[in-house]
Amino acid sequence: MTYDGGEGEDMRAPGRDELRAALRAAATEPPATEVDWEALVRGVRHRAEPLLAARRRPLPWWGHASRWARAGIPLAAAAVLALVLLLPRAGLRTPTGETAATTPTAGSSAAGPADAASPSSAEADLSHLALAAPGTGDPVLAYMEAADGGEALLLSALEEE
Amino acid sequence: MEDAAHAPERDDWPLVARVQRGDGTAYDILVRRYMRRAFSIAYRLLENRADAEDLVQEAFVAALEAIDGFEPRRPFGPWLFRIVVNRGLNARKARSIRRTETIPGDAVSANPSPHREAEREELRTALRRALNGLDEPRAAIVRLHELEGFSSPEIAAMLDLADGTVRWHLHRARAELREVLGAFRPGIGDEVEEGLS
Repeated sequence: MTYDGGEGEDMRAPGRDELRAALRAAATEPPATEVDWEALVRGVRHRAEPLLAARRRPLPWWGHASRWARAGIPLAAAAVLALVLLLPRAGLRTPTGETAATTPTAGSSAAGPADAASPSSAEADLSHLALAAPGTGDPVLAYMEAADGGEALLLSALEEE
Repeated sequence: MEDAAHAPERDDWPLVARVQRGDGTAYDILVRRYMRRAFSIAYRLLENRADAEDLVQEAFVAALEAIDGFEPRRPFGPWLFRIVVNRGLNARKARSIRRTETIPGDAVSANPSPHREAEREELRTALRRALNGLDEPRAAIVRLHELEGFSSPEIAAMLDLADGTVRWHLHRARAELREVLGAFRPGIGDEVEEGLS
């Protein structure tokens, strides 16, 4: 019998081979020569025959439905779970009403400092400000606190800045 | 004994597909192909020939019942052995082992002195007791690895455990069994090894 040694242990560890040899000496070898293998095959086949016969019979329509259901139910459950987990993220909205999916991507954020003054970057900065110091009375932050994220408030705040 | 744990993988999928349609001949081929290895594993777990034969029959029937869930193009053997191991562990829990069969007398070197033979028998008894005293699945892991030659990833797949968990169980089991073996040293462990070579 061979060992692949792939279990990541030190094969040269003292006593390991000795332990294995002792275990083999202590264990009883399976009495393969005492088994009537043909009788075992017949026994298995006898118990399996009703199941095999059932498989040979053509399935009624509900049998097909049942087979599909076995695969379909877990798939449907996985799809529902994925929707439950992903939809809230996809539905997150920025204060201007854009979905989270339209916020800067990794590619656009890697575009460099030239993009720093873009509207999306400005909005992100405002968001950080609002989260860092909520309710401070700052007119810029008032924009963030507005229920509908009004554009007028934003414009006035930027003008004051 | 055929070392099926390391035998080249056979393409069982065509046979499995035929069994799914109720082909008894294909089922017979699969049974004959894997019954010896399945029996060996069952015997390691149950240490009784009749129990092992029952377990093999149950496992093949259970495999047929679940054959629609068999993943196409995978080898049938590991999938079947997983059923054997899980049912074997359940059987160990559910009933006490009827008896532990005696060790064949030719398992050790010839012409030992009566004193040495008595010592060896004492060691074998102590190791068997220690192995049976290990919690499951640790004891099964030791049997499958040390006696059946399955690798830790293969055992992990059979028992639905992480490979690291299997290795950890092996490490802990060896430490426990070495303590038993250590009580008989020096000398006798070496002689047991020589007797096997």
